[in-house]
Amino acid sequence: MANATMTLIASQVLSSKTTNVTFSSIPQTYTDLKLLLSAQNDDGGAYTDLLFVQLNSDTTSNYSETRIYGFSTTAGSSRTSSSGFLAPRIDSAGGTANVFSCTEFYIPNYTSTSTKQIWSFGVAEQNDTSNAYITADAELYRGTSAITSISLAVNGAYNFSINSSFYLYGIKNS
Amino acid sequence: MATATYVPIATQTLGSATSTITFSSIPSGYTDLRVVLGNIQAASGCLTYGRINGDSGSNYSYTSLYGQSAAANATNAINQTYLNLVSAVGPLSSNPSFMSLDIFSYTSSTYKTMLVNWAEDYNSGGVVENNVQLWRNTSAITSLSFFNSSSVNFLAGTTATLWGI
Repeated sequence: MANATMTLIASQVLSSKTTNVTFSSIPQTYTDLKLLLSAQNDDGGAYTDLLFVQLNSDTTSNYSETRIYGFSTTAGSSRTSSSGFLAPRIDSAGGTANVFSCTEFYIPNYTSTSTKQIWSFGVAEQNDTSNAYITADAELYRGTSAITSISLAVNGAYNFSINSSFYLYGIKNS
Repeated sequence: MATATYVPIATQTLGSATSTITFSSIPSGYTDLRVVLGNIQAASGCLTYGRINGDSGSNYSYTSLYGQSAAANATNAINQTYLNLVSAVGPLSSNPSFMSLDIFSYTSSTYKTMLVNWAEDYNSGGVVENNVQLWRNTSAITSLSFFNSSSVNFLAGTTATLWGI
C-alpha cells in the first residue's frame, strides 16, 4: 500500500489575541495545501467579520472570488474582482458567546507558476435566527509564483480571539 | 503510529490535450475515495462529466446548488447517462478550475452517493458549485472516467489525483 500523504506542516493555537496569523516558509514538496481554522475575532459589535487572506504578502489586486452563501433564511451569490485579498467570513465576539467558525481552504497545485484556483467552505453558526452564515467560495489568485506564505487577518484590524486554531496540511499525490 | 488514511492511489498530469481521464483497477481496500482535478482547462467552453465502471446507462442523477456571479441557483436532473459534475460554466481555456469529488462507501452493495465541489472564478465572473450525485448501481466502483461535453479536450497541465481514504 502506498504511503499516507496528508501531513501537518504547521499549526497555531492562540494563547493570546493576535492581529495576524502567518504560515511562512511553506515547503514546496507537496502537491496541494489544506488550511483548516476554527476562529473567532474580538469585534464586540458584530456577529461576523471578513477574514482577509493574502498569499506571498501580495497586496496587489490579484485576488477575486465568487461566493454562494446562506445568510439566515436568504440564499445568495456575490462576486469580487481585482481585490487585494480573499475574504471569507468568520464569527465575531459580538455574536453568541464561545462560538468559533469553521473554515477550510483547499489550494491545489500551490507550487505552480500559473494562476491558482482555490476552494473554500466556511460556517459561522450562531444559534441566532438572523446572523448565521454558510459560504462556499471559488477564489482565484492571479499571482504566478509558488505559494510560500499565507497570512490571515480580520477586517477592521480586530484580533483573532484566544483559542482560535489554524492548521496547515500538505497533501502529496504520490 | 495510527493507520494511514489518506493514500494516493494514482495521479496524472496531462502532457497533451486529452479527451478522457481514467482511473481504472481501483483497489477495494479503502472506505471512501476522493478525486481532485486541479488546474482544469479545456480547449473551449464545455461542461465536465464522469462515468463509473464504464456505465453509460441512465443510472445517474444529481442536485446542484451554485452561485454564478450575483445569482444563487439550484437545479437537478434524473436518469442521466453520466455524472453531471458542473451545471453552469465548465472549464475554460485561459483559467484554471478546481473540482473535488468525494465518493462514500464505494465498495458497498448499495447505491453510491457523492459530493462535488467546483470552483471557477475568472476575475471578471465565476461560478462556485456544490452538488450531490447518485449512481444507482450496487457494484463496487472499480473505475472512474472524466470527460467534457461535445468531446472537448482537457488541456495539457490539467492534474488528476485519486486518493483512498
